[in-house]
Amino acid sequence: MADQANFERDAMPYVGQLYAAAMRMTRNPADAEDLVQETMLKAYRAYDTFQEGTNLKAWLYRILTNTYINRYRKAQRRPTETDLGEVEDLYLYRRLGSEDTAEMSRSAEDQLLEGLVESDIKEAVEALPEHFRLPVLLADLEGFSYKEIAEILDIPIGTVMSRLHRGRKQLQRALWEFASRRGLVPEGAEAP
Amino acid sequence: MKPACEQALEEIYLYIDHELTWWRRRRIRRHLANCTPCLEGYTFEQRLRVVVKECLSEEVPPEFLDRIQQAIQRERGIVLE
Repeated sequence: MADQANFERDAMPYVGQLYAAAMRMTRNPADAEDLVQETMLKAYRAYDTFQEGTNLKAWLYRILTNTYINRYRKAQRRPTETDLGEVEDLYLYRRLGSEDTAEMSRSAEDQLLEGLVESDIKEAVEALPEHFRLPVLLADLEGFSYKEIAEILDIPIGTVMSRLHRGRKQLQRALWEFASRRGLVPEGAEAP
Repeated sequence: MKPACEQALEEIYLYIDHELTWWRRRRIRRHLANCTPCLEGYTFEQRLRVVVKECLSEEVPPEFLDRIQQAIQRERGIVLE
């Protein structure tokens, strides 16, 4: 069991990452700070139940997501889920029209990837419905494995995979819309 | 699309996420080495993943770190009293 005396030394290095995830969950700095502070206090109080040598980062994220779900979720607006029936894999890439025109597509890719600004990507992630947003954040921001995400969110691994898959598709569709608005897509590439 | 490409693309996200067994990883790696369109698709997904990750990081306000330290110390004091 872990020693509470070591809590700050062990856990403080994760605050920055927790804060980034909290920002995308709550969508504003004041709530993100409250959420992280509450998470750290809960973690401190429970630290003597943490099994030393196991995954501290995943343990902290489990507390973070549970705290978020219990305390903040009810007050949040819920973005509507769009029908994803028609969204294909590698959505953005295919929309750029790459398959036949490999050379042209490389510059189109650069234009899109370099032209999207930070706020576009943040907004696109924040617009995801929560059951997609949390797995996408845990995988693509934090680099957790499917198994770790399943444990953090307390859902089966198959559910993690399908939510990640659909969440990423929806993210790509949103990014395509931002890119179209900024004129970053090649002429003739049709909006869906 | 060729069956080999379809199979590779089905597993491309698992491949990027490092969630495939060694044997399936090798099968995809071989396919990508021999198939330019699939390799391009894979490369694009990888680049997008990096861009998304970079854009989602946040600068933590320095005074916020102090605030958490203080909150934990207060908590420690309450327990000791």
